[in-house]
Amino acid sequence: MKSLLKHSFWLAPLIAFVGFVSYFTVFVQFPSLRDVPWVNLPSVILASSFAVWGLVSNWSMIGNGRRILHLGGMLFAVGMAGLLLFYVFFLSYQMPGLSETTRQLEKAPNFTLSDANGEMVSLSDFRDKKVVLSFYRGFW
Amino acid sequence: MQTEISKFDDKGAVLIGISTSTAGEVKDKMLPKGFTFPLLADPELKVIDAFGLRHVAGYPTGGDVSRPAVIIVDEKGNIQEKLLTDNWRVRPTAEELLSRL
Repeated sequence: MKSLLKHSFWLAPLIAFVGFVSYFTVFVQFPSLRDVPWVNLPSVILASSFAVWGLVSNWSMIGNGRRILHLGGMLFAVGMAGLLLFYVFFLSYQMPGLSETTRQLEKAPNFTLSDANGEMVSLSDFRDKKVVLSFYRGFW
Repeated sequence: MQTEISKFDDKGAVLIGISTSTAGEVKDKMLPKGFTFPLLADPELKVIDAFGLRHVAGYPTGGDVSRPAVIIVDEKGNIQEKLLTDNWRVRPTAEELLSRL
């Protein structure tokens, strides 16, 4: 453990960075890990703790150059954790209130739009069937 | 949702995705992921506005997008259910939708 702690100045920020980026690149594709980031939140928090622990346990034994490295690594790891927490618990709740249109809508307005291959698709093509319209933001 | 598509078929329901992406963007970014249900392009937000779902400056780069929502339309064209969210990360799961059909 002691030897591992010597490396925390680069290992911790690396884990935090991977923990942060992989949420958006990988884990958003898995609904259960997206809704509650069971992988990403623990990894950035562990990485931050690891960085702080490394900093504290090495502090008295290292010179100023190393101290700056450890401090920088810790700030980076904590910053990544902070960003992810901010995104998950604050930013993603920033939505406009529900519009009157949506609230009052009882009949679905018909529409015709192009699909990816340029074919036109209308809601009225599917009378006699239930239609599940999923409005998405572009990626998920 | 794609993996559960046959269960939507079994229930006699059609699944349709709508976003602000243009047809070309959908073709480049979404089709390679293997979606087989129609993903419709609404870059002018006409339909998104008709349903009142515009989220002004909702995209990280500042553009307007649709707020995430699932609207279930019944056989007669009436809205049976509106599934909205107060958190754009979170969506109803395929199981949740299937249970409401």
